[in-house]
Amino acid sequence: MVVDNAAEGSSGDQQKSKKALKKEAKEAAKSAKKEERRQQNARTQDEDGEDYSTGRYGNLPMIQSTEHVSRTFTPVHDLTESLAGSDVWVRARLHTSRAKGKQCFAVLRQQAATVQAIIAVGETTSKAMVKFVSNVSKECIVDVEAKVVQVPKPVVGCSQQNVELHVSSLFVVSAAKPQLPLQIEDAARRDEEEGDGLHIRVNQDTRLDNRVLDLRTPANQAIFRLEAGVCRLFREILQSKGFVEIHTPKIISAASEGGANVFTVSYFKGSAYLAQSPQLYKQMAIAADFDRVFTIGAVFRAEDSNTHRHLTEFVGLDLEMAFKYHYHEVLNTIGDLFTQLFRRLQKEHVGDITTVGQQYPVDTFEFLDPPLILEFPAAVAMLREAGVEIGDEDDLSTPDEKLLGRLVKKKYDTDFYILDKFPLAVRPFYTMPDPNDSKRSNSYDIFMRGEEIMSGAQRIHDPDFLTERAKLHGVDLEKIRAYIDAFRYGCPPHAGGGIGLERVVMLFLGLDNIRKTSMFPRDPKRITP
Amino acid sequence: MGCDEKCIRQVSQYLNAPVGKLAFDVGGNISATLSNSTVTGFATIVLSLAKLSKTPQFGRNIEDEVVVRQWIEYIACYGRCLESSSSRRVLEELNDVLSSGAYFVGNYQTLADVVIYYILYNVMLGLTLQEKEQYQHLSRWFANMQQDPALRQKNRLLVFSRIPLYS
Repeated sequence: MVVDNAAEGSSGDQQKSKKALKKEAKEAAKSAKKEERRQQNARTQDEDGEDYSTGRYGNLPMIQSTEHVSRTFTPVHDLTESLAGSDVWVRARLHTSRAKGKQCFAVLRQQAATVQAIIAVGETTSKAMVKFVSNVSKECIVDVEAKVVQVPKPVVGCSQQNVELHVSSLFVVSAAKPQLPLQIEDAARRDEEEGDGLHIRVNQDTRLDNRVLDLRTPANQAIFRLEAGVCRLFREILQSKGFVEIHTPKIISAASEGGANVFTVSYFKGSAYLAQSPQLYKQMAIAADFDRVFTIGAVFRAEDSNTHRHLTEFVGLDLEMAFKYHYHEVLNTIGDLFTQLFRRLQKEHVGDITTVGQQYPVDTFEFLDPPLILEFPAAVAMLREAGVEIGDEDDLSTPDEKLLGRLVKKKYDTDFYILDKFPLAVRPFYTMPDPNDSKRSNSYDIFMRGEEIMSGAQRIHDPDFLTERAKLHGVDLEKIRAYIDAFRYGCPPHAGGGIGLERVVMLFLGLDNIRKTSMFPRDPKRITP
Repeated sequence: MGCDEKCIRQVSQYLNAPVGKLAFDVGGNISATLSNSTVTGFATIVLSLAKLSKTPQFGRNIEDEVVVRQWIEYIACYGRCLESSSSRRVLEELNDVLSSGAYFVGNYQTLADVVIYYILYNVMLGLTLQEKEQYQHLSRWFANMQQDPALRQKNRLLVFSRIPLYS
């Protein structure tokens, strides 16, 4: 409804000020109500009688390391019937609280362990203290002094089922905002399709936007402890096989592998790239006589893939090994690395795997020892038997890989297998061709649950042959001159491969999305937190 | 519809009952010339061909014949659904029927099986292994039907697996 520009201008201002007035009036009413409520509370406090619990509860001032307090804290997961009768100090989060007249029931949580706590009006606990505790908001960090009491009936909702805490003091160490963007209970709830009751699911985007809260759930704590275990075992197993850990540069001058998917960074007056893989440097380390190397570091792939299994930045676990006569020496080492890794994960992290299984459906990971190694033609035959049309020199598409995974699982009962002797046409230029069959190569792929986790091969260590293969692939020789030069001063035959830490953990546990196994995932649409 | 025409020709060849020229009229109805008379409509043509054939196609008693005719009508009505997004429902229904019998009518092959085989061929060609496993009874029936070379004619032998991969 346009009347007149000038008139509208002035009436617009008037309307604005009217709106502003209304807003102010609302704010005033709100603060008046708040003040009234506060006075009401103060009045009821006086009505409750004298507070004989002062000094046993309250908000602690911000801990700025003012003094040393020697006090032993007991972790929540150590609260068992063996401690019954003793007084303990616990620092945990307030998971939930429920006030009921003269009592307040709370659940305290420390990482994956939860325990029930009761604050009841008594000789040393006043009504004011119970009220204070029931008003402490969720997720606040609290210091609690309590007596451990054994319970006749196990507490079903907590991890420490045989005891409960009878609280005598409670202090708030660090307060949490009352309005949480997501509730830990909701984020930790199992995703049930059927059944009655509330089915509040927390969206993945909400989880990732408030990652600090989401990571507190028991399942996430377990996933990342397992991930740390994978890293640790990878190091330990390779070190026991004589491998040396190296660190390769991530800022590189030229795109090393198939150049399309690299990030560019401005480097002083020019530009540089973020490494897509440590391939070149691993090989240089072999040429530098390190014999067996591995490296754990960030890998950056600028692929605009928005799938459940791609990230733009992930942790790469890469290894490279010199061999004497046949690349199977390396392949068997890699196979043994995985077998030991899976076995030790299932033994040393059984608790974490169970905890993850309480929220997400987890199928036990099956594998064979020694690992199953299939040759590519056999895999093609299996696929053709199932009705898939595939040429002898074709690469496997993702649906083919998934189907092959199911066929192998059905036939050999393993979620983990190696596919050897890929067709030469689908591998990069530095892959060593098969000496006996010009259409094949000395390369292999490793699969977990039907998805590829590693693509490796014997690398060409002869500079002249490498130049020849590069020319055949139409690669610009100028761009890879430094790469070829690395082999000019004698280099042993070598092979290797690399895996993505997040993808391996995701597939080991049978989770559906790689963002669940990356603490702060990076994908084409997300660069915070 | 293109598949109607192909189906009629295949049925005609299988039954050894020659069908003359097939023509489409304005309304999309198919008509054929059989023994000097024009017959219109998919179901009618197929039933007429069956009558001309030397081998009995209508089962062993009157009840079976009635069911066979009902199936032919079913295909005439819902055959076109197989080429659209509602093909799932037709396939589920056919799968359900076959869960309690080896063939569509009784426990022997009739005209109903013949016609449904021809109509379903293109659909089965495009199913993934997972879908074939979903419609396990339909797949079992189809694998059985396609073993007869006289019925299969130029169609390809499709792959069916009896090992469940997706359960």
